[in-house]
Amino acid sequence: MATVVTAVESVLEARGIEKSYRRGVWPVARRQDVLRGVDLALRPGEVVGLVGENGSGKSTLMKILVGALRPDAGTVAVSGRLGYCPQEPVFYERLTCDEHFELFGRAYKMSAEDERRSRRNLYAALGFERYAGTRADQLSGGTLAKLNLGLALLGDPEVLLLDEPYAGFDWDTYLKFWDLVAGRRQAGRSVLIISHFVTDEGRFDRIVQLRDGRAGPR
Amino acid sequence: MTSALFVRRFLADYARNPVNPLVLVLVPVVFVVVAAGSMADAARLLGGTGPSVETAAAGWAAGFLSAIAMYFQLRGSREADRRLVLAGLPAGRLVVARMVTGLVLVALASAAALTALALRTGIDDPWRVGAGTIMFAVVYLAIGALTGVLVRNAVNGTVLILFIWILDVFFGPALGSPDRLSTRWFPTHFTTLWMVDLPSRHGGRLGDLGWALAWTLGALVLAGLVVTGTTRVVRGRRGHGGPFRTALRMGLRDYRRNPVLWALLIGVPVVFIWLSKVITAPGTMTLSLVDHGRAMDFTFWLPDMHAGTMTPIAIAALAALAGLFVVLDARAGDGRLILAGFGVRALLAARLGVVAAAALLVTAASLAVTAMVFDARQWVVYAAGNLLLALTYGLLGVCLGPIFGRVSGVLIAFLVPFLDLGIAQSPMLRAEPPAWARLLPGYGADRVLLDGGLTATFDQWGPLLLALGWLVALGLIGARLFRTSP
Repeated sequence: MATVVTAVESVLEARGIEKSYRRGVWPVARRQDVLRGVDLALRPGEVVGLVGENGSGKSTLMKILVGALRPDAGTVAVSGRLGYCPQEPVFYERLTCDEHFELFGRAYKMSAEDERRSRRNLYAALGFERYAGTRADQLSGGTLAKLNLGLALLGDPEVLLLDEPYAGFDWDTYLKFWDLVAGRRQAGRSVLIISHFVTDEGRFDRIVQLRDGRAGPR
Repeated sequence: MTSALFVRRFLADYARNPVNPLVLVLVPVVFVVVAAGSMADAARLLGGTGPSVETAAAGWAAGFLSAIAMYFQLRGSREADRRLVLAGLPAGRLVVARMVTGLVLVALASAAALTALALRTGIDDPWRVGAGTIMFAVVYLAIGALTGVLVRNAVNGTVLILFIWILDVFFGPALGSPDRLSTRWFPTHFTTLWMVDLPSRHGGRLGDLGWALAWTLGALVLAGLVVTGTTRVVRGRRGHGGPFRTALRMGLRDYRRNPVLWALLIGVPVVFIWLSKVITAPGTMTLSLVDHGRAMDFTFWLPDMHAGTMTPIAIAALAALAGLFVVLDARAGDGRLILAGFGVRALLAARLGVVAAAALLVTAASLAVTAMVFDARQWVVYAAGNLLLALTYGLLGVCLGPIFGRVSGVLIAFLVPFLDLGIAQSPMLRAEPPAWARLLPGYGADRVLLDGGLTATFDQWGPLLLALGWLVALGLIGARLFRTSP
């Protein structure tokens, strides 16, 4: 069972999350339980890893936490803004990096100045300012991943949920990513990261493992 | 008066550019005095009338002079004009000064051209020829202004103006046949015909003079907008604009960067509309229509009307595809934007705004091709009916996308307009649509546009209401699907 803290202390708290999918078509349809009552809480300044086997429900849980998917049962409470970086980069193909940041700046209700400042910092931190005017459909996989992550970080959210964010990063960018995460921890921001890398273990404050549809400490 | 001072300075700038005094003398002498006679001979061979060429040459000369003068006025002035505004000059005064300068240049160019004409042949109808020459100059003033802000290089700008002018003059109605439909969208088509007193017979209710004045007024407005645009400066810190405006701006940008859009926009109208004119066999057909409140059978010469009935099929297919792809291309990104906090209503309104812009674009492109091969009895009603159809099918595409996805959606987006407008509503298959065809989305708008295209008065209020009902219903369904689709 994951550590459950009180709502006052946690910035994100999920209780009793259940989700099942229907497989096949009638009359041979059957339900497959993916999540069977997941409890999870994130405290301010905490960097938590979410691990589990393929198909264990990590991405499903994350989609429920951000509100992209409705759970069959359970509740999610978030205090503050929430940033989300999906596993598959999601973009408007023919818009440039700058144009994506402008759109998401509106979504986060940032002022024009704040959005531009944050955008500049992210370009510098992840090293892709030279692609500012390049369309998304002309970016390499690694730069797309940087834009994907940058859009989640733009609004400086209190809670950041990242679904395998560094696939496609080179070593240098990978290290820059962890510098960013460390900076967020210091600023009291919380980060939940789905990860497969054993080498990342030491970088997390704690690791939550999904097994048999439930969350527990690793 | 600050504006008067600026007008004087701008005119001094005009006079000090050696190109301007040179062309002010050279162009009227070459076109009106020297070449007009030979061009009149050439026109007779091409099916035109000789004397009309000699008169129209004054308009051509004035137009060219005016365009070149305005081009050099605006070509390099943008930064200087903005600096003036930043220094404290009210932008309105600068716009007024530029526009007054432009009108003085119009007067100068017209006077030079008319003087040359008076010296060569005399002017039989001074008021008509004088007014026509000024209208030429105003239309080309806008062309010069627009070129001035788009093309900085003087050689390229001059060549572009020359190219437009050559197309307009040598393929226009004075050198060719006055009743040719294909050149009706040339900037001075109607001005030329009115100026030389040759009725086009395709001016509709507005008439040749009405169209000429519409072009002139439109050109003045365009020139004003262009000049205003060159003086625009950013005061203080510029914000994003609202979420709707940002999403609409980005949506339009994303849409216009799609190369398939431009290929379809040219290809579909040409294939559906222009080719239908080319391949239609001679013959007559009868349609049941309502005119002056009375239902009656009308018999039409098929080659004259077939293209006009193909236009709605082209428009519906293009609009349905536009609606489909606007929503599908943006769906994943929109989902993420909404999760990030973007308002669903603002985003939905922006997507529908892009679809509406696309409907307007496909209607304009298709009508431009249609105007070359079909003459509607009531152009405004015909165009409005087609736009209504485009909006209806654009929204249908919005609904088809989330239900059928990309591949199936494309097939259905082509199939439904074909079945609805090409089969069920088709005037080629029966005198009026069968009862079941009234249930289809294209019925109302198609009756409206046929009424506009083929009869003298508008009588289709019932079908118009039905079409508007479809618009509302499809809008509501589209909005529902937008909110609920993953």
